[in-house]
Amino acid sequence: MSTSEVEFRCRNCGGPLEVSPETIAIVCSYCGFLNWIREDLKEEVLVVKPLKDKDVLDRLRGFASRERLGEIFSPSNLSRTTVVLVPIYFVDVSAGAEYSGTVAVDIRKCRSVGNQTRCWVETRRVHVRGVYGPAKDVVPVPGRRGSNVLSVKALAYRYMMNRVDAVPLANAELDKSIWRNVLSIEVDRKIALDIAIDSHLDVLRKTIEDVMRKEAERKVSGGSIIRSRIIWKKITPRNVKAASSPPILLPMHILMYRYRGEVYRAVVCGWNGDVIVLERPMKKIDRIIWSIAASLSSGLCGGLAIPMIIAGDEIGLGIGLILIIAGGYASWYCMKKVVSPVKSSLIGVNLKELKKYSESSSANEVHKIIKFVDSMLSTPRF
Amino acid sequence: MVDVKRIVCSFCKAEYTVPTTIVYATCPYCGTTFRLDKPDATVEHYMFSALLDKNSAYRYLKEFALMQIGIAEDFEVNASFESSYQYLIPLYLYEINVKTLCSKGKESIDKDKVEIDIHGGEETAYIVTPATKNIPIAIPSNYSFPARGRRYFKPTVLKEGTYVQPTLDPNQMFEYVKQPYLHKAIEEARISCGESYEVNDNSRYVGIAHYPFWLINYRYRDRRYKSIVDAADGTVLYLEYPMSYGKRLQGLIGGLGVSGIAIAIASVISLIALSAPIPGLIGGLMTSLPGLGVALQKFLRSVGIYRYKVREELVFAPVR
Repeated sequence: MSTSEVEFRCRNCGGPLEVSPETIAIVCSYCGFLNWIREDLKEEVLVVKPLKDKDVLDRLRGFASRERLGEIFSPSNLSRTTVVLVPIYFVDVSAGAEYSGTVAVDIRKCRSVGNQTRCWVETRRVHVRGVYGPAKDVVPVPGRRGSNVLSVKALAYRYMMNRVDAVPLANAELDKSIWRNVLSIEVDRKIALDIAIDSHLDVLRKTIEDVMRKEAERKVSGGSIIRSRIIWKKITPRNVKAASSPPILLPMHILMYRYRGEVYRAVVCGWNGDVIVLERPMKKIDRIIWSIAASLSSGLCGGLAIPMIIAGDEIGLGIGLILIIAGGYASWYCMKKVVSPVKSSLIGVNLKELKKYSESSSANEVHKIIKFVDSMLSTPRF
Repeated sequence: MVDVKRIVCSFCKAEYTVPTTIVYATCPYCGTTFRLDKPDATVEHYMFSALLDKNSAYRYLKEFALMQIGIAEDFEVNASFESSYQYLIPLYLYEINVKTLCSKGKESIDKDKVEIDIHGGEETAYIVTPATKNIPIAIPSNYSFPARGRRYFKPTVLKEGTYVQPTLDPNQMFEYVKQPYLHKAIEEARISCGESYEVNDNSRYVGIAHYPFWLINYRYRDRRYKSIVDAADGTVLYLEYPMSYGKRLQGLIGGLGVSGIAIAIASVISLIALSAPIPGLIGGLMTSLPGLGVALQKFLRSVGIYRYKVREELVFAPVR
């Protein structure tokens, strides 16, 4: 036998539980009872009650009709549907910071000498210091490993925007068809706090760096600012406070439709039926638009590049070469889009807002690490 | 010819041979896993369950293939399953939890809240890396091995697939994977409080886990095609599929059309600027070549190839 393995059974009905080493709590798929594997971490779990499947499909059809996709998202085309309840912690984080540093600001200055204007670039070193914040935010942290995808984050942001009622799981009386789809909780509150603080402070540091650059630029006069860069900095986060909600189970429907031999997928918010992500094959009009973009971008760049090169001076040559490269890249990028099979759209959520928390997310870091490790593995990869 | 040696299982005392290059050995009789250099040390050995059998995996790949542009029109009817092999790929699992606390800072940590007076740096992550260089199937370099529900290893899976042995030293890998996080946390502490910080490293090596993949071969019109599917959740990592000649030709004509219009636009601009269209024609040709290359590449291939893309997973993935 490899290592000790204890079979876990539901405390309520005795049914077997699918427990993994990181499981903290799991809903029994036979009776719906919440079992705490880690008793020391026991707390109340809340749930946002999901809509019935029929209501979700109706809401999706309404959305599809407005988007002129009604024929596709009809019940007869439904190929597969899954509902999952994802545990998410919502962590209130607040932090201020003291900052100081030196910023090098490059400014362009010009002076008239006789009939000629002479210009040069001057670098000024500006010392900045101050106090920022407190910056407050709510950071959603999935209560599972491997759930760091944008669709889950978008679901969490929907909840934060709508703030629907979440009730204790024990009182929710969920339909028994849903019990097996409640994802087990694998991340405890302490780790959720750590993840949220890490994310929030990463964002805070970047924000303060922008503040330092702008402050330095404001202090400089006598020319036009080209760029600024931080030479050294001290950013000390202060009064960092974080408090987490209990885990809240948010429902999400994932639906697949087949229409005329093509596949369409939708991720739908489980409590109100709003579409979060829609994936569909690229339409002809999308391909035509990208083709026009390819023609215009490469045609304009190509047409302007050669006259610039022929102009004879160094600047013209440089600009001409840049236009050739830019035009070539644009035509390649646009043609890749033309031949792309699908188009995914995030609906109703600001992608920039989401990416703020994706930048320091564990998903991206896993990819960075695997690349780093890969450089020493020399494994056949693609 | 691989060098092998005879070893004795630390649990059931069975004798068997293993390559000399491996770090861990799993007894084919009782399933016990142990380190060859430390046979008495406890080893946490897990697995990710193959939730898809070969038929489900084939169904997933067919559905996925139908989403690919230019696929043969009769693919769904004329494609047929030929064979499948399951591979159990070894992974090392690590939990990273590094804090660099400013010496003057006060920290108050409760079950559900944290208050820190002066914060240094911290990094938290869950890392999964391959445990061997010798992976028999091509896996994307940025695949996150997502799967839901890790379980303790069961020796019965040895019969279900090709079991790949871990060969890399987990301690050495641990130092490599932890380095960037440690470095970042220290960097944050230096920016925050200079050199007066202390490192609190609660990172740990969790154990080995074997992850299942299906290699599926299918036939379409007397030709064999290959695909690799994540057996834990159905993600298609690699797919070869037959391309329709008609659609490929359409694509090439489209590409030529786009390039032609680009060259025409460039020629007109050149005519206006220089009263000569030829420079613009040359410029337009140069900038439209990469795009034409994409269309030509699609046309020349009678077999389409899909390779897993991380950005698709980041937006749209089954929740695991």
